[in-house]
Formats: sequence, C-alpha cells, structure tokens
Amino acid sequence: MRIELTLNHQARVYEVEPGTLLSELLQTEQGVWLEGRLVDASRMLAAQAHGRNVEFKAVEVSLPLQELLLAPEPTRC
Amino acid sequence: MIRQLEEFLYPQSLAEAVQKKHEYGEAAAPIAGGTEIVPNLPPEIRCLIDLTRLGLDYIEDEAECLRIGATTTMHQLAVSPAVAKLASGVLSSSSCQGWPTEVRNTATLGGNLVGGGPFADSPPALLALDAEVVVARLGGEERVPIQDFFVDYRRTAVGQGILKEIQIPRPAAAARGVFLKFGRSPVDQALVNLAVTMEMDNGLCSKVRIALGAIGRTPQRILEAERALLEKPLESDVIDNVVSIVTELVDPVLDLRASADYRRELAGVLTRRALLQIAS
Repeated sequence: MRIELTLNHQARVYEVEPGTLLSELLQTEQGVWLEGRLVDASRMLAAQAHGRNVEFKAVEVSLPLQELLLAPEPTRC
Repeated sequence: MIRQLEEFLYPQSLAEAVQKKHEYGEAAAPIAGGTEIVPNLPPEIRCLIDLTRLGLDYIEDEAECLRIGATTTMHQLAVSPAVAKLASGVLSSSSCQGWPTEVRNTATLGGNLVGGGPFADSPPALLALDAEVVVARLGGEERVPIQDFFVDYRRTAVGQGILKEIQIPRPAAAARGVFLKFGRSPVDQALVNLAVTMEMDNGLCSKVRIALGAIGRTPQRILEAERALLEKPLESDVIDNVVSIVTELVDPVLDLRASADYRRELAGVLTRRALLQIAS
C-alpha cells in the first residue's frame, strides 16, 4: 500500500505492507513524534502515520554507568 | 512486520467504518492508538479499520453528562479539567498513570475498553461512575450500561459494532471518588485495581459504587458491599464489615502474577484504603 507523510518537514511517499511497523519504516525505535506527540514507533503501524506529520530525532543516551566505564580511571565494584 | 495483515482501511465516516466492519466480520478490527492490538493482533484479523480520522477524540462537558469520544487518548483524559471534576478525578487517576509518555499519548479510552482485558484500569472507574457506552451499529446506535459491556474474558458487548463514545452522568458536586491500583510497578498490569465513588448525606452514605478489576474474568461491581454501606456512616465497624464482604464475595483468578488468595487479600486491603481515604 502507498502512504504519504511529512517526515521532518519533507513530503515523502512510501510503499509499505499493511503490517509494516513505523519503527521498521524509519529504522528506529526512539524519538519519533507523530503530530507533535511522542509515540512508540514499535507499537505503531506505518499505515497509521499516513497523512501525518512525523518527526524523527536521533536521541543520544548518556548513562552514568557508561560514563563510569569510559572514565580514565574506571570505577571498580 | 505483522505478516497476517492484508489491508488497512481509512473510512471517511463512522457509518463507513461500521459498514466495513460488517463486511469483513471477524477478519477485521478497528484500530485507534494500536498500543494493545498491534503487539497482540488476534490470529484471525486480516484487516484493520482506522478510527483516528473520524473526529472521535473529544471530551464534551454537557449539562447532564460528560461525553468522551472513543479515540480520546489517555493523555487527553489525564489532563482534562472536566474529567478531573468527576468524583475527585477518579477517572483521571485511572488514565494509565505511570505509563510511558509515548503509550499515554497513543492509547485510547475506547481501546482500553474494547480490549476487554480484566486488568485495564479505566473500567473500574467507569463502573463506579455509572457510565454508558454508545456503540454504532448498522441499524443505528445502541447504548449499553457499562456493567453489561464486559461479557467475558476479553469479550465485550461491542460485537460487530464500533464503540463511538462513553457517556458519564454528572455525579453530585460533593461526590468523592478514589482509584487505587496495586501492581508490581506502575507500568505493570494491575494485580488488583479498584474504584470507589460515594455521596454522603448528613453523615450517611446515600450512594456508593465499589468496582474491582483484575480479579475475575471481567471487571465487576460488588453490589452486596455497596448495599452494606448505604445509609451508614463511614465508621470503622462499617468499613470492617464491607471489607469482609468484599473478600468473601470475590472469586479471584490465579495467574503467573499472583495467587487467588493474594488477590483476595489485596481486594480487601484496597477497599479499606479507598474507604478510609474517602472518610478522611
């Protein structure tokens, strides 16, 4: 099926299967906004985004544990 | 990828959606947020009917009742001042508090009801508020009292129709309500959830609803416990009696989350907590 949406303010047209997940179409499971609302793209079909505005932002996650491991002198437990 | 899906339809009107549901029968299901149906699509479903373009995401505050469209999201419910005014905000409190933002932004009240899961949080609140649901069918609209809506485990009275809206009669201004949920974490399904609404007149209970979820095959009111409260003050011996009625009458399911005995005990504990909260 053909869906049309606006992705990061650019009109896009995709051919997808009815069962394609939005996360599969965008190849991400994080940071997807549909009509300005944060959504879970792995629980949403791409077809649900037809005609909608989609924003997709890469999210960088910085965890304290990672910071500890990357520190010059790693903390030992 | 959900390979069993063959079609995704965008009806232009509720009448067209009902017509499509009738044509496809058991092979089609309505979809709004999709947080329930997308990860748990029943094997017989081949077609999904999108309801999110039909203008059913409204909360209308009318003189006699509050009308809530079926595709109103849990976030809309949680932040609505009109919903917050109903019996101390009992429905607001049941609107998936603690869930991730991306789920509350998408999950809808209609989906929470039509899923028919006994663990859902909004059904006890709607039972305690004497809500009615409006189901659109081929022959017109049907109004179903919420206590008749949950037929069996994951089966509701919506059948081949489509849930259009939920109507909540306006409770008395002084009506108080409490929603309580006990789960392993706020995100987990309830082990037991409960909603109580109450009106008092000269220190005596003049109207009360006690509704429990996650305990049987469907959410349910405990009518005998309600009767035991009528015309009584909210005092400790009355509360003790109501708690013992609740624990005797419930017939809890056991599953991997909790034993039947644990759920029975929880039902009593939550009932006591709710009544004490209202009394305070």
